[in-house]
Amino acid sequence: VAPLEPWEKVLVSRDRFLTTAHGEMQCTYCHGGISSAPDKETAHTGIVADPSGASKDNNCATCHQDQSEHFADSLHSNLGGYWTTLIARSSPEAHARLETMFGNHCASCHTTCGDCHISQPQSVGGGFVDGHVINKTPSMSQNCTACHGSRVGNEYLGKNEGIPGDVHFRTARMNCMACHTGAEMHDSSASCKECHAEPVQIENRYSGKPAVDCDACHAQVGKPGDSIVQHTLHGDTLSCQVCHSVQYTNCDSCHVAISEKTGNPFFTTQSTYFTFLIGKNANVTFHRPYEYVVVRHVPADRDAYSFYGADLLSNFDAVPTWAFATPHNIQRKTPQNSSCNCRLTKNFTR
Amino acid sequence: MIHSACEKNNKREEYLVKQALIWIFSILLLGLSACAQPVATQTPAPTSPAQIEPIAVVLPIPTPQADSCVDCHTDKQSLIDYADPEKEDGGHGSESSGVG
Repeated sequence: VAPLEPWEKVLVSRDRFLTTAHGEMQCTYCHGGISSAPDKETAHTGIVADPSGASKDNNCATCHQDQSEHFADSLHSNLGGYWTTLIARSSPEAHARLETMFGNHCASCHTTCGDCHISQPQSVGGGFVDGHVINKTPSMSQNCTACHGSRVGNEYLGKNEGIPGDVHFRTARMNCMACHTGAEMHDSSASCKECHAEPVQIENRYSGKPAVDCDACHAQVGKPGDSIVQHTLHGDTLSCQVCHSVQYTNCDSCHVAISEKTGNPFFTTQSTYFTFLIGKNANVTFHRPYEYVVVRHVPADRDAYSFYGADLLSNFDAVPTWAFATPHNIQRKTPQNSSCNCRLTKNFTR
Repeated sequence: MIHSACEKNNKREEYLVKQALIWIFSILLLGLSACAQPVATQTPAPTSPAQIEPIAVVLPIPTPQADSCVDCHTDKQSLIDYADPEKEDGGHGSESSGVG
């Protein structure tokens, strides 16, 4: 995402925003401050730059109750997936220091209503996407891949040299929202509720029923009459990506710290490389019964948070560093499905 | 037999009395309504549009409320003029290296 000039980040469009329903409201209704003030400092007294925080009581919820009701519990809001892993890899004594680390380094990726519908996320510098116009559908490049860029975005759009983009983008120009619905974004357990009346605890993005279900469009796969026999043969044994994904980004050893010079948080990732590996599914569930899946190396490291204390991840090996992955570079034809000798390829690992 | 003949006569008398009373009441009612004075109802005289005098109504002119938020945030030059000076290291995590 190209950085915006400081003025550009906060320039409200008179033509496009003020003529909308949201534009008819007083700025102070959402942001506070003093609209009749004679100078900038007074006008900004008590101002709230982003009043759309993840709360059921925020200003957005006044009208958009359905979308706001469960947002505080959504993974985009609470980054719960990170805590699932952090807790599994640490002991309770380390949690306070990990919370400090999380606040300094991870919290900027928290998503508010405005981070998707008004502004670019703070993690990429913020700034209005379209003159403060509240877009019902987020911008794929300025919202979705602004955060999910280095892996998902680059894979999907074909930005990794020599590796084609996802077939859904190359041939159908499908954007993120074509598969990832608003219901999924606003409520991580939305798909669970299709069957479960009781609340379901969402541990990470691979909890429960897949929010994006390939079968929803490819309903004929593995069904009687499917001309591709491998679909029936492999059925629930292999995830779709095992046969239909290609090389993707992996990272090693991320460390975080606070700069002595500026006091700002920063990270260092040791290495990044492309590979394609099939591994045993470490978390076989009802919804993901696959024996083999594609695995990606996550940038975890035993000493990743040593800036905040020694051995904070004392139980580091409790979670594999090669993690279940769903690379966003689906191809119809891949080296794996070009012949029946898939099991002999060098990338097959146990 | 004698008893039933008397009962029949009584009923007939009763019927005749009732009929007579109804007739008397009806005649009285007609007489009274004929004596009543007709009430004069005033019908408004039709007026032509030309006869309506225009009334000057002074409506309060809405005074535009000063909204410095809109004035400043819709004006590129104002935002440039009043912007805080950029910090040396304004970038978030500018010392970061590697893929985030």
